Amino acid sequence: MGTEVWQEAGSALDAGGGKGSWSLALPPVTMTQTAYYCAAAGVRDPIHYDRLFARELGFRDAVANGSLRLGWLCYAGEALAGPDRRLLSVRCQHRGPLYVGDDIRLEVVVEPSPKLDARQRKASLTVSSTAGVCDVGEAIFETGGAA
Amino acid sequence: MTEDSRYHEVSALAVQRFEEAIGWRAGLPCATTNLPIAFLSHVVRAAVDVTEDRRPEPLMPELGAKGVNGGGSVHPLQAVRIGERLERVTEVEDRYTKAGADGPLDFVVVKNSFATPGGSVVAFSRMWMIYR
Repeated sequence: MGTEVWQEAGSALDAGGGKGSWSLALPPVTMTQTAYYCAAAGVRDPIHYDRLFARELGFRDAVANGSLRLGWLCYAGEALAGPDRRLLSVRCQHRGPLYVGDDIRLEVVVEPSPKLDARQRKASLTVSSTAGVCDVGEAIFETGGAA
Repeated sequence: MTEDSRYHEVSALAVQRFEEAIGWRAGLPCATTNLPIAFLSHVVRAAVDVTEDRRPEPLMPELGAKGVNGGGSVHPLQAVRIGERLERVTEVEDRYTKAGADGPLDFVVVKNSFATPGGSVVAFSRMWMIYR
């Protein structure tokens, strides 16, 4: 799922002149996933894997880790880079909590960015749930051959 | 500002566990290179060092325990391979205050740099911590 999105958006990055946008529906974050991630990363904050604890603190449900969400955007950046572009950076600003069970949508927008060098391209990345925008970020690429 | 330095081994197990936690996400294809995934496991560990008690110890012990992760950035500079040993240097890069809806918010920018034993920086990351 989604392979064509990365290919099309990647081609738009190479073209450089126009604007394009793509939208990708992603499955909800699961409790297993946040628990697995916490184990992998050594995170011990129960807000990410204990629903009752999170609710006692006033959250609607367990909260997906910020670093996990940054990791997803890095993954999206890698997918956009493919074999033909070099991923230079990924930035992610958390605008609100992303809860376990929320439906997620990833928006990818490619448009010219005059502030970048001639071979560099930018893709804007926005993650939304049913409650609104959760993450706003961008990935910067270098075109013209991967490193 | 004060710096904190630690060493990390980019082990196959750590990378695999991180890949599994991140990468089973349906719709996102497998990584074409191990670059961000490999060092991200270390970025995450560094972030945990900062946030476990919600303050960037030991750099800023005066901060309270109500910090939240406001976001971050990742900057891969060259390939990181399995088995490499990296030195992470953590520093507080910036600190500033903004007005929030419920009062002032302190922003602390924590930078983590990752270098080979030869001193070549292979990646760096930034993390924005927000304190009320």
